Amino acid sequence: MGLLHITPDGDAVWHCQGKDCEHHNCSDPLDDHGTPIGCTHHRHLETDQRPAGTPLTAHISHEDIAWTACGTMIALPQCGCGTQMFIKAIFTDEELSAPNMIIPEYEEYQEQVVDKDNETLRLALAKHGIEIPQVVHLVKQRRVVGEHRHPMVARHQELARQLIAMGKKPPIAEAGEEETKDSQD
Amino acid sequence: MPLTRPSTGATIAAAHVDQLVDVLQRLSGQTETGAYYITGTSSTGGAASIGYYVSSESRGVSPVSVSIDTSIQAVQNFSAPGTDHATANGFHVFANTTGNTSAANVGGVYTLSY
Repeated sequence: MGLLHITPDGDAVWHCQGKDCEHHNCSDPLDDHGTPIGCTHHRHLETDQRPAGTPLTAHISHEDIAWTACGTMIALPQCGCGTQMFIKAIFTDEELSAPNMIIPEYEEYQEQVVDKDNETLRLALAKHGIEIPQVVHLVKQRRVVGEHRHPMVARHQELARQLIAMGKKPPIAEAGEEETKDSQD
Repeated sequence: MPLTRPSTGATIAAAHVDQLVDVLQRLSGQTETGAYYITGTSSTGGAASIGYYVSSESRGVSPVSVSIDTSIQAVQNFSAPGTDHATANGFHVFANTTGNTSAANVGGVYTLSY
């Protein structure tokens, strides 16, 4: 999915997206609110039957943790299975306002709903003096009670911040600095 | 889960429409997979960068990561493939040839995470 964690000391933690990799994990939720991961590799499995592999870890000083040429993404070291993840670390305002960046929080509740077929019959029979009991179903509903930001954004931005702090700057920023430097000379 | 059709004569439920919307506009935590394949040659006396833009099925939502492997075609006369420019429209996948070659190939599965 993206970074699972980034420690203050610069250890990046993530799961591999390789379908059969021992480091693949689509069993755990996306966030603390229980948002499920919709893994296309394992969508045929129930959540508790999906892979729950161990995470990968690398320090930000690892030579393979590097900005890509576009300057908005960061390459993570290749997994032993051959899969490599590239995370998006710089987002535009438009991207940050995309629907998937805001995750709704739901609350489940039960609602009483009158059985329509039974009610039609009950009212018709009532006109003839025949009374039958009203049928009420208990229906499980859910409503939005709040929202929170996509958890990957803050983690990816924190990785970017730490990379820049240790001198690994995005190529576009470096080019901009060179231009500024040249214009000052 | 695979997409399901409403049975003949049945009312189309919101869930039927939602399953299509969720493909065209992925929800947080969902993924999209597909395949890429790059072929190229290089006779310029050095490495050549070859790539193309993979269009995603999903539009209007921003991916947070892209993962690629080389499960379809192992790297042949290319360096390890890379990706960048991941946007709501897709991403760029590319590889650099390792020198003069008439047959550089690499291919695999990609996973876009939203």
